[in-house]
Amino acid sequence: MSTVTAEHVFLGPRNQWIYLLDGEGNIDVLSIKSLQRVTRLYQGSLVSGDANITAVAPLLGRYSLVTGDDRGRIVQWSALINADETRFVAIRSFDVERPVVQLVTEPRRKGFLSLADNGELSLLYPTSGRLLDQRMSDLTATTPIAVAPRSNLLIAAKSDGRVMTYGLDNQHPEISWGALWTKVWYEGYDEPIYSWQSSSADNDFEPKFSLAPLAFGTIKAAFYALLFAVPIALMGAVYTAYFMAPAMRALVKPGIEIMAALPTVILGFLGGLWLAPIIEANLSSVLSVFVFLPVGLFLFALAWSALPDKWINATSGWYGLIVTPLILLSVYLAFLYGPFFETVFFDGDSRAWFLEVLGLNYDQRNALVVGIVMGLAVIPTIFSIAEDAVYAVPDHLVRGSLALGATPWQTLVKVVLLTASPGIFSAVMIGMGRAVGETMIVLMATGNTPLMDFNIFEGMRTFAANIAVELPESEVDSSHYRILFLAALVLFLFTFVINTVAEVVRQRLRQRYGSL
Amino acid sequence: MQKELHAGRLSSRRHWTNVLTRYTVGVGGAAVIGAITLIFAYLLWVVAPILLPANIETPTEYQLNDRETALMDVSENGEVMFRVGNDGVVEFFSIDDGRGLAAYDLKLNITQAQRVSPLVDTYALLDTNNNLLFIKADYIVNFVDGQRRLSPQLSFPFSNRSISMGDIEHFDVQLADDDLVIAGVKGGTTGVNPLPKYGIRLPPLRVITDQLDEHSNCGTCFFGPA
Repeated sequence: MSTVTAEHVFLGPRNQWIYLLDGEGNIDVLSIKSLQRVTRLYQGSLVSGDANITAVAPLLGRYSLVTGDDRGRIVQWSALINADETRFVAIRSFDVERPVVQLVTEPRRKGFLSLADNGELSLLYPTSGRLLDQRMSDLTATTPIAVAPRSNLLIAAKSDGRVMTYGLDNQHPEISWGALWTKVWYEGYDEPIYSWQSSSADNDFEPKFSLAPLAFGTIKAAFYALLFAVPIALMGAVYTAYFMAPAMRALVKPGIEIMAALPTVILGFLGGLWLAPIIEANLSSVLSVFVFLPVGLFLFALAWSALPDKWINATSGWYGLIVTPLILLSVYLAFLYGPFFETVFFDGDSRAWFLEVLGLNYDQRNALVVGIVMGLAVIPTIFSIAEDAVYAVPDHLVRGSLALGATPWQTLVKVVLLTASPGIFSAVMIGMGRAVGETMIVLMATGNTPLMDFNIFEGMRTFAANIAVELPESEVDSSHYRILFLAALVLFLFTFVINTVAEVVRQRLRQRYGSL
Repeated sequence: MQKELHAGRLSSRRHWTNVLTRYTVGVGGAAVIGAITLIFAYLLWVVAPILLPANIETPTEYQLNDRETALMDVSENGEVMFRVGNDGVVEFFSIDDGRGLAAYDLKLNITQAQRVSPLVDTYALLDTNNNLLFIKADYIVNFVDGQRRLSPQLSFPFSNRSISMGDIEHFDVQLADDDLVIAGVKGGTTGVNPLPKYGIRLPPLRVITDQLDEHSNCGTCFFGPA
């Protein structure tokens, strides 16, 4: 095995590789992890087109090399290692227009400076893909240049004994619109990705500050919570306000409103440590509940309607009490027959079945747990406001509708719900605001994995949980600290816009149906 | 008459209650809007610096001794410049005014020099005889009469003896995870010299070329000095 005739040699990350480059841009990457068995990881060329490489330097951590050529193109090359092969690929490039004669890297960050043949200094940062600033200088290819450890100063020694010091005002180079909201190709990754990974045990770590997974997680958590809460809360509110016996309503409404006083840290604790393992161990049973419950209620209603009118009228307004044992029975039966369904429908292992058949991975703390637990936290808010809205529908409208021959159901759908729609809409939007801003439940029951996956069995990380977890640990005034504040600002604007839109819609609904 | 007086008093009381209530509610509402605006402004104020452009500032220039420079560096806090001359003279200067703080003559002709780690101020110097010497810049802080005083010093972190690198044209050295590794190349020939356990004195060089040839088919690799 022969290597290139090296003109540059760089040790790689943790001294486990060695990069050898010749004058024509050919590269050999050797593994020296074991000195008894040196192996070649990659051999290839770093040249694109007919350009000549004129400068090369390793970035902090040495997972990447940057090359500059005589066409003014600067390329970041990163080693991508997986089980099958090692590749060395260009993950981004910059154009400084003039031939590059020297590249100087920052000692503690991934940034670097390039010096062009006309003396133009360019300050660049790979992760954000930013050409940060340029300035003309009288430095040359042979001028020794260094960047201070804190990247706030550049010094250069001229051959005549002159030393130039350039202040560098460059505190947050890793941040750009693209780095925050679009896919970024980080070194060592196969392709551009969305990623939030703000810290690591390594000093040579490349921070990943994409807010996209956090925004996605926030929306995902709110979506599943509302999916669970809205139908239950609204139907409960309509039933309580419109059909329930006053004596029972006097107990139910305050009872549900008291649920709103439950500290979310307790709900999160129960969700993460008690409910999540139960759902994981009885997944098919939990899923069976969503079948058993509606089917059971439907069959019960069918049977109930066959009873004599005398019985039905006597219990009118108390159905809520009557179906409660049925709900408990349905849940019990679902758990009783869950293992049977697991064997019949899921080949004896529902989690493995979801992974193999649908490609859905299962995490113990996931969106299903959050949907249920945060749904329970949101239900009282939506229920209470919606119930008030339905209950406040003027009685003369209901009586008028009934007097004109409409059934109670028709009156509910065509009169009551339309009249109460501004209040019901407000209830849902306030519930959504609560779900979006909720912190403790998502912190304790989601696993806090910043994924971009809508899979209900995967976790997520929300803006609020992220701020709660990371702000106490972040260095004041660092990029990380400011990005956490940016996350708070985005959350603030998000809820502000949602509430403003909700208010506009509510006003329009009120204008349209207020005259009923 | 008394009734009218009572009605007038009541009306006046209602008027003032109304006025008070109106202003209280108005002030409360304005305070809520003000609080939300303040929160927004504070968040924006903290976030704003990340939106500011970077800047390479106008340079400051000093005239130092006329000497060819092999390597420049800066201390952690950006207070002291460190220069290694090709003639082996190591100097420390104040960044504020270019004043010399300390100087050492290593009596070497340096051909290449480099820092060994981003985290420690240790440097490897290669001389014309291909001997490698490690030096370390120490910045000692003292307080004299309540004044902070920075005293740069030079030390030899491993040994004050140079290591013979054999016949090499280019080298790299890196301290990572407490292991120091030196790599040298000449043409198609590569040598690597691992010096484990940073902090102890340099062990004798180990030549393992034969083992490598036997195991790795890396015919042009050698390890340790030729």
